[in-house]
Amino acid sequence: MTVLSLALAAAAANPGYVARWVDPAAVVETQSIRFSRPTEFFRGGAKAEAAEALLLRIRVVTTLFLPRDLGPPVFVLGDGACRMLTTPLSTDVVDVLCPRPPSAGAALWTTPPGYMPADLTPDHARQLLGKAGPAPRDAAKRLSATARAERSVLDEAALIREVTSSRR
Amino acid sequence: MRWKLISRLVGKSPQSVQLKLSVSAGLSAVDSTSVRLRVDRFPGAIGIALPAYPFHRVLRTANAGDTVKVALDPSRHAERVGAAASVYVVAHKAPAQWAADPSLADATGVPIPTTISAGSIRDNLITTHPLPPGDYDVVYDFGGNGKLDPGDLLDSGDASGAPSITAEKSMTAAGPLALAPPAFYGIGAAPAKTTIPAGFDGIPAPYDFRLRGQVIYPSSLAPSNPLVVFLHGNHIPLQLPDGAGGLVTVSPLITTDENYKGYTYLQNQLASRGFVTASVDLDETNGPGVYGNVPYPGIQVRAWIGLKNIELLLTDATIAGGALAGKIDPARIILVGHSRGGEAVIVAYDQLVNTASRPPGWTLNPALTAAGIRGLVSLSPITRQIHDAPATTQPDVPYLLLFGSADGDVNGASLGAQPFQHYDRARGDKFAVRIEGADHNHFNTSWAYDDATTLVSGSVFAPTLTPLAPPVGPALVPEARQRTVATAYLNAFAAAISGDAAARAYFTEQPSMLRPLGVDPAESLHGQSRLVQPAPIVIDDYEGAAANDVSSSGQPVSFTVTALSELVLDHLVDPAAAFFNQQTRGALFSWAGPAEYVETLPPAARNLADARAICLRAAQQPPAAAAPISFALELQDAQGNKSAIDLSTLGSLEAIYQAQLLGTDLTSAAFKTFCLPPSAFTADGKNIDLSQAALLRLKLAAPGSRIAIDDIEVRP
Repeated sequence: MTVLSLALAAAAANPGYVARWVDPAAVVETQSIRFSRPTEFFRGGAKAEAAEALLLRIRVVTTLFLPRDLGPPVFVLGDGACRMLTTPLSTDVVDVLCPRPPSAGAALWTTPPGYMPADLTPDHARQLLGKAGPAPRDAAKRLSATARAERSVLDEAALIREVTSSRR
Repeated sequence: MRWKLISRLVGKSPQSVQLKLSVSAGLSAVDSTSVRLRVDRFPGAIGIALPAYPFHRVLRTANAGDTVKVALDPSRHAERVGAAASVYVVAHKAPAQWAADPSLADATGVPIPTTISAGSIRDNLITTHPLPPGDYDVVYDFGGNGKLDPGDLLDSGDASGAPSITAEKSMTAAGPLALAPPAFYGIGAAPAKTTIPAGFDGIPAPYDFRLRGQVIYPSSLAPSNPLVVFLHGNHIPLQLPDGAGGLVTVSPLITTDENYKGYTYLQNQLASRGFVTASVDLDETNGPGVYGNVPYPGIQVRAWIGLKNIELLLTDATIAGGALAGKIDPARIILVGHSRGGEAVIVAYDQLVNTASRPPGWTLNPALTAAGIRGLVSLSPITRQIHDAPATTQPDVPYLLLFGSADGDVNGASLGAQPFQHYDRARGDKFAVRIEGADHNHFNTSWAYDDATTLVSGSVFAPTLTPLAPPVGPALVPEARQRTVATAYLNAFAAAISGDAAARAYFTEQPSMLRPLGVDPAESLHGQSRLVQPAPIVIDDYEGAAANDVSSSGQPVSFTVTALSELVLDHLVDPAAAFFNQQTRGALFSWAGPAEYVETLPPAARNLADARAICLRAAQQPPAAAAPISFALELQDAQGNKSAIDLSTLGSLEAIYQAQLLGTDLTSAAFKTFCLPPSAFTADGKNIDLSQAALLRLKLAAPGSRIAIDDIEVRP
């Protein structure tokens, strides 16, 4: 079992057009994933391979995650950009895959709509989060408490197949 | 003894001639003198009235049913003061036709009698009868004999004898051609496909994208017909996979029909005017978990699928039952895109220019080339690709941008959603119309909800729609009116680039002065334009990093305005450019009381005698002045003579349209292009020598504001 501490802060009800900390209550499920074939993520705006990831199921409440022309907000765990694997079509949740942060205490946040993982250089992320204000410490939560046992998956494509079929 | 008066041309300049007059008696010279006469190009007699100096603006495009103003400036035509004339509006004749048949027959009813009076041009304005559609010449028949003969005055559009004025038909009513029933291709069980290889534009594994769409065309086709292709944006498809191999339909509150059928209203219009039109299905590019389940397709994929559809239309003789086989002209193609499709048309052009932008190893039918693209149109486009790949080709074909200021999706102000950057990057003739209060979705009739007023939550099969409070902005435009504006300007653009020169005026004039017939006069529209044929003479475009007191053309700039800075007008690049979302440099400045900003004209711009216009674009910087503002443009010649025109005669810089979404201020500054013919500065006998222009001065009065200016130039 991977033990991971994630600081999640209280947040406004919608992601809006500024960066926001994610409401811990919005994360309804967490799984720790180990890939047999490492997959590519963006950390700090640069490509990096990772074999360990977190699969998060997150409740979203607005239009912004439906297919629209401006891309949906990107979930970011620490400095690692998460990928949205599903779209909230039948439900109000999305599944996102995040590279496992290198240290405990990483916070989950969202960018404004229209951002891409390559945009999230350290400077730019700092600038975005500057507008979100500090992550309130009293909202920190240990996600590992809700995580199921670590699972091994061949690769991201296999995980996507599994996740999308489970959502039908 | 016979006396003789002899005149001899002894000198000339662009705006004057010098004559030597001598009187002789027999072989003896009695006296002689030299006279210098100022000569001007005749500025034209037809146009519209202005509320202040110069009181009349030459305008050679009108709408059918309009009355227009004909005027002679008595200071230019002092010899006519007191003379009576009949003013005819006659069907246009070429010079040879006039020579063969000089008779005058008024096309609007009866000629209008007038007598040229001394004083101002405003005392000589004549209102015509309503103009039927067509091309016309205007004649002052001073002889009163119903013929064009010596002593009369014929107003032509140019030196070659172009029409004095064209009255355009409605740009919103259906055209003259009947339509064939809509035809669909690629809707069977085995549509043609194009394979996108892994690694191209974020595609993780090879994927076969289907090629399909809707074709609408005239029932009677010419041997060769122009083609207009539509690329839609990203929206929930009408049907989604049910996981068991079937499809399930989403709520009509979200999507009422196939995404690609949402531009049928535009296809019908263009087809009735002689275009073959096709709207391409791009639902498989919708993103993770949706149709096709392709994880991260970008704009390059969307563009490439668009091109492969065009290739199919050119090569598949079975489409539309074979009616189109060999009848589409690959050298006359217009690409129209909405939202992601609005950027995809630019990327498609890039893929035609640069094979490196295509999927590796892929080719296109050689008939499909960049040279065949006659125009590009973007409706509320995103700007993601040009952000990620700034080297994307800057298109050099005519470009039109339409954008609504109450867009709740591509909002105009955030990363990837700055549509006017496409306008700034375009390198051909380019035009933009900003529709105050229009939203994003209603350009497509299949996209059901109003993104300016509505939030969607829950399942797309049984969604909950709640009011967006507050809405994105005030004074929202009803969807039917928004589509009317889109119809009118798309028709006008297609006409303008297909040979209807008069239709171009809908873009080069502010919509407050001229807008296509059928567009509600109450619609608040802002226009921008820049023409590259012939190439403009730049006075200052602020590109490069010259000091504030030197223009981009290397000339001195002086000013008494305050807080002047030249910068990139993008708030994401420079916070000082707050609320600007351009991809250009410009000058930002403030003033609290009377102030000025003075450009020294570069040598190439100092002879304005034959120039068509002096132009610049300007915008208020939000959130200052909530009221419209204006300023004056003053021209000064080398002798120090001055003439000023208040731009408020052409329209003002409107009050800021305040936009917000989910608690975020998304207000963006709105540029407008203002153009004045140099001859306007000489109205009513203003003594200024246009052949020796020296300075162009912006004169700003209280109350102050903060504005940006850019693209100060002369249109030759």
